[in-house]
Amino acid sequence: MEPNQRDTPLRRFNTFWWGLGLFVVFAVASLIFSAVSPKSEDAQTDRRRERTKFKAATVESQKAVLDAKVPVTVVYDELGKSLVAAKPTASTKPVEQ
Amino acid sequence: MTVKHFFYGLIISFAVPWLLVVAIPFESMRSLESVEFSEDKDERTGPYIPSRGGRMSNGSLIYAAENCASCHSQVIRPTYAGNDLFREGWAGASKDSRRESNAFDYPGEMNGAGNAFAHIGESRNGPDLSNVGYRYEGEQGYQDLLVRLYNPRLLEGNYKSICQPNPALFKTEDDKGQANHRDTLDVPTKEGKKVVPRDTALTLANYILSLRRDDQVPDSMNYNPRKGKK
Amino acid sequence: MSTESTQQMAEDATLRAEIDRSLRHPVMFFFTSGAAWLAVSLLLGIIATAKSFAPGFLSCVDCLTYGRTFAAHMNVLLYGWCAQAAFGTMIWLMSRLSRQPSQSSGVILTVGHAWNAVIALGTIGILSGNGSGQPWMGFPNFVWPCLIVLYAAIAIWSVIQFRVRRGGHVFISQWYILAALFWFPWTLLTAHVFIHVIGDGHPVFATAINAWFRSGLLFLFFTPIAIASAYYLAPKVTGRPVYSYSLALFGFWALAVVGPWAGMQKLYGAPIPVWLQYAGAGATILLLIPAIAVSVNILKTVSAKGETVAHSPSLRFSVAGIIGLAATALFAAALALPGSMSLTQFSIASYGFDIFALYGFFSMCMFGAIYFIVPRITGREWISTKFIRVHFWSSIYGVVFIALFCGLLGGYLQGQAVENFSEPFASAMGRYKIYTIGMAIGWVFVLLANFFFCFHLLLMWLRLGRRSNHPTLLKHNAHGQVHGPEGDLDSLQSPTS
Repeated sequence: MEPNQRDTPLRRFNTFWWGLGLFVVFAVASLIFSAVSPKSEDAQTDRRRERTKFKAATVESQKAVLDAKVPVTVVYDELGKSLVAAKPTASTKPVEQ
Repeated sequence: MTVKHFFYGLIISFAVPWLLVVAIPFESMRSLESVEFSEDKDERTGPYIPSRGGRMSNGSLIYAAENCASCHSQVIRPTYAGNDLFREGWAGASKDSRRESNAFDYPGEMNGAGNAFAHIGESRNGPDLSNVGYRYEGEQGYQDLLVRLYNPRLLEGNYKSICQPNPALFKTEDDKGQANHRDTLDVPTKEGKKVVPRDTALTLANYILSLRRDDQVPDSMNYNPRKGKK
Repeated sequence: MSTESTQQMAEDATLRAEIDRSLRHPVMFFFTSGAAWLAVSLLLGIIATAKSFAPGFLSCVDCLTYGRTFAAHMNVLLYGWCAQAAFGTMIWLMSRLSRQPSQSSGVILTVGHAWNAVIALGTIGILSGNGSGQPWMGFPNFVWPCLIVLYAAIAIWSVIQFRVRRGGHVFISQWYILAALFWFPWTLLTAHVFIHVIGDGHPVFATAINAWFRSGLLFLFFTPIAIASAYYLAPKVTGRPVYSYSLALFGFWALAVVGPWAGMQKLYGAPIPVWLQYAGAGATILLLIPAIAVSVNILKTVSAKGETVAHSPSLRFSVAGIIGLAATALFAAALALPGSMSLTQFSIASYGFDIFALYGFFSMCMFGAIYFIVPRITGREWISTKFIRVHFWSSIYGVVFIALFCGLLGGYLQGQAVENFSEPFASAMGRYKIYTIGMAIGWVFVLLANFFFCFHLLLMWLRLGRRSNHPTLLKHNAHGQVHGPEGDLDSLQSPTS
């Protein structure tokens, strides 16, 4: 029988890896496709925005205070001073029910 | 035809439909364009935010594992595809609330392993369940549903049903008194025994009750879903 | 005849014997374990069908509710029987046509055992309430990556064999096998990645991809394997060249171009883009073109040899299967017409179609291949022509009754009753119930057929077949008849090739 020119170990090895690669090519394509396609705004984004509308407004109005970078020691000093300066006073009697 | 050309042809003839039928529509439906209410037609404003009550996600896991979808559909087809809108009780509670299914009707639906998967259904050997929640109103409805899951033919007037009993979702145990009567099924049992639902039955019942599409949908709802804005 | 060509023929015979010997264990393993799974699937199918008209049947057994039994029935049929029969046929055909003895039989045999173990685990998973609830993808999720890896370990050797094939010519069957080798992982992996790995898509579109996958599995894996087997057996057994090479070429590319578009018509009316529903329906109707091209080509090849078709078990099953292919395509087209989709989409017609395609077309072609291959790899002949006859006729009666009478007719009537919204739903249920009784009777026929097949195959596996040089023919006093030369297929090519 004539020898088979095609049948070489290198060719078998190559085909093994090319074949496996071609088996999974559309799985890889699916993953790449879903990774690179840009996310867009959908109903869930709107839902989140709706839910956090009140919080967003609060955050917006207190932005100046919240963003102020005051060292905490300053706050303690301030508080301590006002506590020391304060004189104890008699509390008012609770109203009889 | 050389082998090389054969492979080019094979890859291209598969890649084109793969891209157009599977990949691109998958991406475009992954995040849907939201629909706005309009003051003129809906008498309210803002985006339509789909919501569903109940344990819909872990309930749909049980619905999947028990393969309820082999007999029950969950889709009200538009008129081009069938007469579902007109059948009594399928598309809504009253004539006014009837509507076809839209792409927002399946939040949190999952297959048995927890991946997004809607149970559109294989056949209608049993009725469509899109609005089955309407058919079991109130405490009595809840009890009836549990009995129905246990054995559909025990329900009054339902002896002809061909729906399956699901004994796996319930357990029969000794009745030692001091029972939580809300969970004990009103079904005939042997002396001194009672049938109580397992957690799976309660979850499935909760899911089934959540199948009611009764929230207000914008007039401008597009039933041919579109991808959201970038 | 010159001495040179005599020597050539002797060398060819040696090579064929060597190929058959090298593949004996893996191919026999796939066929016998496939047949065993077929029996399991038929039992589950009978239970499921019986439950649909007698819901109390076996209701004391927790794991045998209708939903679980039905899912197990379909998935065992698909991945236990159909896939394994396809693997055995594919491996053997590719070896024979590439004229290469297998060097990986040990690996394939080992992986074949693993495949069966995974199918068994998956089936237990479904029956114990851990199924995924996805039609045709019903096993728990861990099964799919396993099946894909095992498939690669089974199939890659056939790709290599093709690459290092002996002789220049590529036969029609090799195109189909080569395409099927890749279409299977492409469709399965696409569905697996989009539904299970990415997993956060739109729920309804995941269902649509599942429907696309089902169509792909049927038309891009089982169909090409069955066609490859028929294209091999028809010229081989009759000793005539394939009727038309260009028609074969046309049929192949028509399938390749149209096939991957089909499937999403199953979601007719569901909220996915409407054009996808019609694209799926249109492609399904267009599949008539490749189906008819193939059927005409094969039937023309065997048409002058009516006696051989009647007497050779492998050809008889293959020709029945190829008629089944044309009927499957007509069935699919009938279900995909927009007017009938609204009636049949959610009826037993779709189950009837699945059974018809998987049994009436695909399995019949596989039985044909098995009746041809097994005597060659075991070196024994089939024992009983009676068994083969019972297998053939019971299969035909059973599947025609299940699919065409109960499935198609029953499906239309059921769909009509559901669509007629002024009638109560119970009337649709009544119609469904009657036809499922018929289906159960049909399944009993198919079970009977496969009892004989399974038993016969088991005897062959134990090498208890007849020691004979004569093939088993479905004919009395057949001794001395030899069907078809065991020649090289190249010499049977049509002159146009």
